[in-house]
Amino acid sequence: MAARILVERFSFRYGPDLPRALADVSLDVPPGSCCAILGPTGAGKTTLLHALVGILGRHHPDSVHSGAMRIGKRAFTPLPRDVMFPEVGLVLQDPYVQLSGVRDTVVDEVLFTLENLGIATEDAQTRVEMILRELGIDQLASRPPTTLSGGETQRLALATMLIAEPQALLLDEPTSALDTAATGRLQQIVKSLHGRATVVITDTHVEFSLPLADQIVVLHQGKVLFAGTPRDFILRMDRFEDVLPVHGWWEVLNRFAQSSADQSQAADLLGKALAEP
Amino acid sequence: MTIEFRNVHFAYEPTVPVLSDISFDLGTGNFLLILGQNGAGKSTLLKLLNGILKPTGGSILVAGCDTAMNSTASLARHICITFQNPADQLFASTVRREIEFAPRNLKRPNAAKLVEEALSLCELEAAAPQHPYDLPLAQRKVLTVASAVASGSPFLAFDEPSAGLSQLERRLLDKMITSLRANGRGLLVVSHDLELFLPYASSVLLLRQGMLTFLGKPEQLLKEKMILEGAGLRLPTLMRLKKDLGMGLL
Repeated sequence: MAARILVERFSFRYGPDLPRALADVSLDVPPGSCCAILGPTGAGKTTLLHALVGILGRHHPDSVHSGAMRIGKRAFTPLPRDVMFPEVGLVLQDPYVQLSGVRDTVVDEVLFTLENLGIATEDAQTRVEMILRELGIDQLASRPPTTLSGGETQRLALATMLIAEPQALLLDEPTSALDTAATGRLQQIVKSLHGRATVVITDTHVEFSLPLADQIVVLHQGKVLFAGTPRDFILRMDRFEDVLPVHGWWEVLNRFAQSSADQSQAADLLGKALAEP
Repeated sequence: MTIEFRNVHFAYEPTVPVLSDISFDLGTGNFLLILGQNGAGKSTLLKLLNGILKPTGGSILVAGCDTAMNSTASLARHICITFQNPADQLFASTVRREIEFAPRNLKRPNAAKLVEEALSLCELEAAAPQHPYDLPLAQRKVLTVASAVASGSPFLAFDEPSAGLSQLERRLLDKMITSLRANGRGLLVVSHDLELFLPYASSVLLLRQGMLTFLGKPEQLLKEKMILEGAGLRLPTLMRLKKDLGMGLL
């Protein structure tokens, strides 16, 4: 069952004398929906995901934080201090550090997740094969994980999370090493999770997330600059030209506006064009 | 000065070809954009350039040196590459030492100047005393490019240099590429980021399952939709929209 993610006025410093990595961040992601957190590097996106999955509280005991957090029925003050997997699954930005390094094949690497959780069942192998197929890496099933390309490794890291069927799935810049075909396939996978898992994606670009997200949050220097629907974001994206690569999209929106009744209709046209496969 | 690939073949295991019959030339001052699906052999091609991998067939000449007969250390005088994952590359205790490594080891007479120029071009002056692993991933990627730039080598090859970079570093990369091209460096870039790199490319090399399916000008690639689709790729949505709306892409 998908979990609601609620973050209330969460602030975080890695140490007492360090600046705030996150400042008064609030977020409400309804169960089964998808939220995209957009922002430049250093905005605090990864810090927020690490807070949600529990590794921030666990690895930074000297940190200073305030606020509140809720994931599903569990409330935290302010953040989880133990790793939340498998309720919450996180695919790291750098997929190489996510793999175990002790398994010889792609299939075994994914099975390793279930073995660690003590939930390996008789049909596990079939489920692994199905997920690899969904991700378009089934032909690599018997390859050693260390021989995969960057994009293939990223998909394998995602498979190790999906196999545990998390209630919330956090994807940290999932497309940074993917080709256009793999990116399209990942979009389909995230769409298919709608209703089944709550998904939070971080991204430095807009192209992948806009057609998927129910909600867009723009984070910059630890603060929320914007929170709203993708449509509202499209209409205001010129405000974020310094922090996001939206210039080209703004140009396209204005070109649509030339043949539309108003900017609002142009935003609908752009949203529609983005959603096309 | 040129890079010459002559009917190059490569396989990690004898029965599984990774690259088959690849031929191309690249001179200094030019920019070759290497495209292909994940697993098409792009990163392998880069590792062949500086002799980390040796061709299993054909030959590669870099500035007249056969990569099969020369070590990576000696080829570094002519070509430096960066890896997709900065962790595969960075090892020094500070950003400055990382950047100093190549020009010092290559005994460049103007090593100090090359280091300062790379620090300045890549806007890493303030980070110079920091440990590379204390930098965010995006800055670590910029650092890998900076250490290649400081080598003074005429050819530079970058593997997915813009992956994971945000607007700020993309603008920086834009500036860096412009400057490197103006200085007559030969650049080979593996990337999925057509929007950023296609306008710079003097030619594009397209791989599909280890085979060269296209080698030509970016204009031709954009004109014929089938070329990209034939390699299992497609234009990013923004470029597709711009094209449909008659807006300039290059």
